[in-house]
Amino acid sequence: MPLVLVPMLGKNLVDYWMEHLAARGFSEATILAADRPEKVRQHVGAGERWGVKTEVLPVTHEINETDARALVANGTGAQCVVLMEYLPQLPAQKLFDSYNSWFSALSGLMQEMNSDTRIGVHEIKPGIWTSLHDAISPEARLVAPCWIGRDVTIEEGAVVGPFAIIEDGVCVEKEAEVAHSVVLSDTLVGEFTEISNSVAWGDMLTHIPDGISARVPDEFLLSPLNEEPLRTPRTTFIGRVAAAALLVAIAPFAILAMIRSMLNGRAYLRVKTAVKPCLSHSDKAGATMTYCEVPSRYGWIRRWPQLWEAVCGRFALVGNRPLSPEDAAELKHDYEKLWLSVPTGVISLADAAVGVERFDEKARAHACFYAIRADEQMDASILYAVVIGRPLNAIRSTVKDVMPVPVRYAELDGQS
Amino acid sequence: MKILQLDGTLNACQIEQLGAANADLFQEEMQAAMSPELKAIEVDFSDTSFLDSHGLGALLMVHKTACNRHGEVPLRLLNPQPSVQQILELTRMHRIFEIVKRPVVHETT
Repeated sequence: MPLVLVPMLGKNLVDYWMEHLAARGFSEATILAADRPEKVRQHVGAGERWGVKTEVLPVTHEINETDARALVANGTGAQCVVLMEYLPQLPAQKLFDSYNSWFSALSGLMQEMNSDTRIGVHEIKPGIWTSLHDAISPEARLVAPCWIGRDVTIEEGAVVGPFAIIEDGVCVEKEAEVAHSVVLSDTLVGEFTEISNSVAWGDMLTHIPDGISARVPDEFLLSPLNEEPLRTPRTTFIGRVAAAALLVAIAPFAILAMIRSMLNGRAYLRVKTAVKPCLSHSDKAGATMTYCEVPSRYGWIRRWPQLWEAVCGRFALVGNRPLSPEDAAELKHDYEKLWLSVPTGVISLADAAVGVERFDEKARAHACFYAIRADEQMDASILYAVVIGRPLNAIRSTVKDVMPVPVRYAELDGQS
Repeated sequence: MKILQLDGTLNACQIEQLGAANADLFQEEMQAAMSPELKAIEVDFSDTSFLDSHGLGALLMVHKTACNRHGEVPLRLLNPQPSVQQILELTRMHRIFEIVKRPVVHETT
């Protein structure tokens, strides 16, 4: 999630700024977003919610005020350029210098909260704010100041506050304690868990004073309540069956290649290491796996053992090709890192497009394109291109080379 | 497809699509048109309704060649249509290429 969309007392930074602009009578706004502009656009739409015509423009990097003015104003009469690095209510408090500054800004915002301006928010006791559809046990203890968002459950014996911010959809179970901390949306704080001076989101816990983060492996302590996988592995039944069919079809050639390799005194299989793709929030970045190749110059024979991995579900039949840790370390740009956001596959879009396994700019472009557009239809067309289309084209061009050039009757008539 | 160079800026326009059919040609022609005084590359995407991985690869190769030959050369994509802009944003190419919305003046000769 881009930083500007992270919840801050039930709203995000874009919401606060759009409300601020609308209240001051602005009719148009342009948001320059470097981080996932499509998500920011999806959130603001065209600005109808605030009555401010809004456009989101992507930029290559986070820019300063002067560059923003040059880019947007550029003689078009823009009245005001602001960097969204603070809340409009607290202009002196920077948000993103550190977790400390962010937490200080949230605490300041909480203390300036006014129920008259927030629909569905109630100050049930001085400094204790609750929202709609909360289920707070009468035996839970709320200590001011604290903020409790929508659809929050707080069970008996739990202690929330002081300086606790519980965002929407959180569940604080029995006897758990949250103080001087933020629990972000849809997080389960398990029984007897104590969160202090930290930000909790899903299974991630970040210590506010020093910014150190750790993943909590025990789901009963801290876990996401609505975790969506980053990418669903598409090891479908049909994919496995197709992999099995290819495994059988290529087996004689692969076995021959292995025997030849053994006769030449070499290993019949090469064991390789690849970086595991990150398909869910629990996948550790940089973790590795091993797979095998048959020593051969033909791609299908070389990849034959990987078909077995596809049958077993460790690989997808169609995906991005495995990357060695050295190659993966070269993925610096955001678009390149998309390579590892989809399942590792036996065949890839680059195979269908160029027919050769490579790791250049074009291969990275194919990999990132596959990462954003992959679906069953695309997988089927890649499979068709690699298994049928390319071999057919190769046969056609061979036949064309071998067959004599047809002689035109008109030419024969002319000769006669 | 039309390619011309004005004041150190290499311009490409009238590109209806950038895909498997013409990406290699686009790359070759752009690379061939790079003069020693190249300062920036602008590709007008206002007529472009289709962009795929071949097109992205060609843009990356053009940018890489320009940077290798002439140092840091910005590649600007002008006025992309929503469907093309969506691909550029989802693939995070907007972090590599500048996406600019402004009127484009074509040379009439």
